[in-house]
Order: sequence, then C-alpha cells, then structure tokens
Amino acid sequence: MRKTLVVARKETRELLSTKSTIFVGLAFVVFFSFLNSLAVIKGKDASSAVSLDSSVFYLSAMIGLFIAYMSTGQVFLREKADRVIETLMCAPVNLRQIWLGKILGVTVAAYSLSLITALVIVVLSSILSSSLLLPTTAILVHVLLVVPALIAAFTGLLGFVQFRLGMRESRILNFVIFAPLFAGLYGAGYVMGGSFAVSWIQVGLLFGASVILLAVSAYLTRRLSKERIVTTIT
Amino acid sequence: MIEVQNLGKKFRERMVLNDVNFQVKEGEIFGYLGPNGAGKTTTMRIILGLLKPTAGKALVWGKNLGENEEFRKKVGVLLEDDGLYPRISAFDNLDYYAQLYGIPNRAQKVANLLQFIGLYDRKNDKVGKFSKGMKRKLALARAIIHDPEVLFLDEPSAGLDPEAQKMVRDLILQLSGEERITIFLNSHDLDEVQRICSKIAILQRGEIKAYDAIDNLRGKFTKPVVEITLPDNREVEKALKLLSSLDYISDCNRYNDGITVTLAEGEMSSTLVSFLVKNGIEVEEIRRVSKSLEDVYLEIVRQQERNA
Repeated sequence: MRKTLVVARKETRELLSTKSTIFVGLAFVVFFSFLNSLAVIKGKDASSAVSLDSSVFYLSAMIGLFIAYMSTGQVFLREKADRVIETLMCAPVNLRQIWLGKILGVTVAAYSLSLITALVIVVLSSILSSSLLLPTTAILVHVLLVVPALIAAFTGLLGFVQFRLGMRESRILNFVIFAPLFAGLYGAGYVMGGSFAVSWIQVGLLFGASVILLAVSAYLTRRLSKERIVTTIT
Repeated sequence: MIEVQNLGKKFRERMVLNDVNFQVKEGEIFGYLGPNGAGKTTTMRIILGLLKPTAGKALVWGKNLGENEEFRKKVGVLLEDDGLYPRISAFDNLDYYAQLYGIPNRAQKVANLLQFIGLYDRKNDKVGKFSKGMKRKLALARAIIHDPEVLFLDEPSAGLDPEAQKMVRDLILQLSGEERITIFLNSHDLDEVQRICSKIAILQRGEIKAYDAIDNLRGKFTKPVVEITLPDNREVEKALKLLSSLDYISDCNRYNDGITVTLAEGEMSSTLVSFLVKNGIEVEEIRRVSKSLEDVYLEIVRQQERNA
C-alpha cells in the first residue's frame, strides 16, 4: 500500500501543479455551477430543493468525470507515450500498484473539483435565491461516496484501456469518449430544467455500478503484462 | 551475475534475437555493441523483465527480474529515454524514486546527488525546462539513487556535450572501481566502450558475432597493420610497385611520405622490412599500428556482411 500511496501522491502533485489542468478545471466549475445555480433559482420555492438536488447530483459527477478524463490522458497515456512508464516498471513496484496509485492520484484531483462544484452550486443558489438551500441526505452521500467511486471506476477502466491499447487506438478512443462527455456537461442545464428527484435507489445503483466497474478493471489489470505496455508504445 | 542463455525473441514473425549467449561477472563493465536495430535494447528489456523471451532465459543473480521485486531493488536502470517527469522539479523526480526504493534519510541523499551532478541550484526547476544533457545527468542520478549492485545503461552519454560525456564515463569507472558495481552498457559509441569496458559482445541482426575481452578481440579479428615512412616520393612509388606483387599483403595504401600495409594473418612485419631493404628501398621508420575497437567492430560487421 505504501508504494501505491507514493505513486498517488506524485500523480496528485503533478496534476495540481499543471496550470492548464487547474485552469480548465476551475473554469468549468465556475461556468457550469453558475449556469446550474441560475436553473435552480428559476424554479419556485417548493421545487427549488429538488432542482438543487438534481443539479448537484448530476454536475458534481460530470465535472469529476470530465477532469478525470483530462487527467487520465496525462497520467496514463502521456507517461506511456514518453516511455516514462518503462523506467517506472523497472523499479520495485508492480503494475497493479502503479495502476491503483494513478487512479488514486487522479481521483483526488478530480474529486476536489467535484466537491468544489457541489459547494459552489449550493452557495450560489442560496445567495441568488436569498434563502439557505441545502441538498438532501441522499445527495450528500452521493457527493461524499458515490462521486469518488464513480471517478475512480472511470479512471481505472480508461487507464487500463490506455495501457492495453496502442497509441493510435487510445487517441481514437479518447476522441470518442470526449464527445459524449462534453455533451453531457452542456446537457446538465437542460436536464435541470426537468428537475428530477434523486432517490436512494439511484444513489445506491450508481455506487454499485462504480464498485463493479472498478473490480472489473482491477481484474483486467491483473492480467495485463509489462510486455503489452512496452510493445504498444509505438 | 547476469546470465543470458540461448535467448530468442520474436515479434510476430520477425526474429529479433536468436540464440544469444553471454555472461557478465560481478564488478565487470560489459559493453553490448551493435548497430541500430541489432536487438541491444530488446536484450536489455528482456533482462529487466519488461519483455518475455520467446526462447531461452535471461537471469540476474539466477532470478527473473520481471517476477522478483526484491531483486529489482538492487538494480539501477537508465534506459534510452530519460524516464523523467517534465512537469515536476528535479528534486521531486529523484525524491519520487527514493520513496519507491524506500531510501532512509532521502532528502539528504537527493540533495547530495543533485550536488554531485551539479544541478543543486536548479533543484526546484521543472525538468521540462532542462537541456538534454541536464536531463541525462539527472536520469543517471536517479539510476544510482538506491546504490544498486548492477547498473543497466542504454546509451548513457547520447546527446551529451564532451564535458558531460567525460563526467558520465568517469562516474561509470568510479562506480565500477570504488563501489564494485557491475555495469551493463548498451552503446554504439565505440570510443566510449573502448575507454571503459573490460568485456564486450557485438550483436548484429539479433545474433552475437563476437564476445570476449577487447584486447582478445583485437588480436582475433584484425590483421596486423604497419606504417612505413620513406624518404621521398620516388621511394614510395618504388615500394608500392614491389609490394603489389607480394601475396602475404592484404592491402597497401599511400599516405604522405609513406605507405600503410595490411599484412595477411600471421605474417610478421620483419619479413616485410627485410624484403624492402633487400630490394634497395630506404626505410626511414616502421611502426605497427595499434587497432582500435572501431576497426574490430567494422571488421566483424563487414565479415558478417560478406558471409551473408
């Protein structure tokens, strides 16, 4: 576990010291939080709480996934493209520790922005509506438990795929993922217009799906060889 | 210490390594030579456990490094690419590996190493801003941060200026001499290999073509060459004409006021001198030319091409 944490710390530090990631991340947080806060106060008093819930539920996850997507490209794909991974694999650390450490590193960075997103929406919505708006307990659990699990699962699977595939295939895949992810972010405001209620079942299902996805990627990574990574670099 | 036996590697249908055999003993500086694409880096990757062999085995202390994390702790690696993180500082780059290797008092160790390679003043600068030479030095420092017992170096001085090249060479000699570190050096810099290696293997098209101590290879693969200085142009012309009729001479070339003669294997230069003197040639000076590793290398490569 110690080595996994060493890898995780380094990845988080590297991501947070990359100005472009932080700048884009914060810009997304501010922009989408503001849009969604406006959508929240558009509703009447009775429905505002519901709108806030759906807004925090959706946007905290989407921002987290989007930042995770951007960071995974740096942490897994670029490290492979630059052949830095080869030197790392010669150190006394195994592939699963590297993979897990990178997931943790990305999750910490992306989840920090998810948390900020949730906070900004709550604060902005409360200020704009001149009343204290708070999310329900299910949403709090979602933000505190489900969102990090979802980010970790997404990062784990994407990281595994980037290790496994050739560079060209990985870039094509990244492009394919980017479109729905970006559309999802913009779609957030539209979904908020419908103001759906978030139940414990939804939160539970999403958590279960994240855990299963993470377990599947962990299993697949166990079967991944160093040779596969080295021979798919060029 | 390093044992490579009947090693073979195939990528799809292409044979990259074929029946490669060599041993590196403790404390040795072993030079692994060959042209680009000969299979040097593939061999190193197999030894380090990054690739699996198709045939044979490559062991260090009798173990497969890919499967033995504990043994990887005793191995230092500098691959063709520096393997550095450009977006973090020089200090953090070394500190990261110091943590992975579990080095006690690591801040001090990292600082000492940065001082040693002359980058202490730049310790907080991001590595992405460094020149190629600075990166190479830093990568070398990372390779030795845990005081390894074996060091694998792939083209360690590639892209370095002459001063930095000398620093790398001196460091390798120091590590081998004082610390008794075994060094496996992949290179096609013949001059570098000649200066520091005790034993070499020459790889061509995935096969070992020569494997011995450099001095033994010099004797084995090169024909004796002598330079003869003559008093004037007329004597040179005369000597050239005479020598062209001799069957124990492989090659004969003119240079300034003299000629360079390559004798057939086993022939003595004294026979040549007596022949010239007997025929009235005034020999001013004669000296045997010592062959460089480059000559040996080229001789082997050409010989193989002729055979092919």
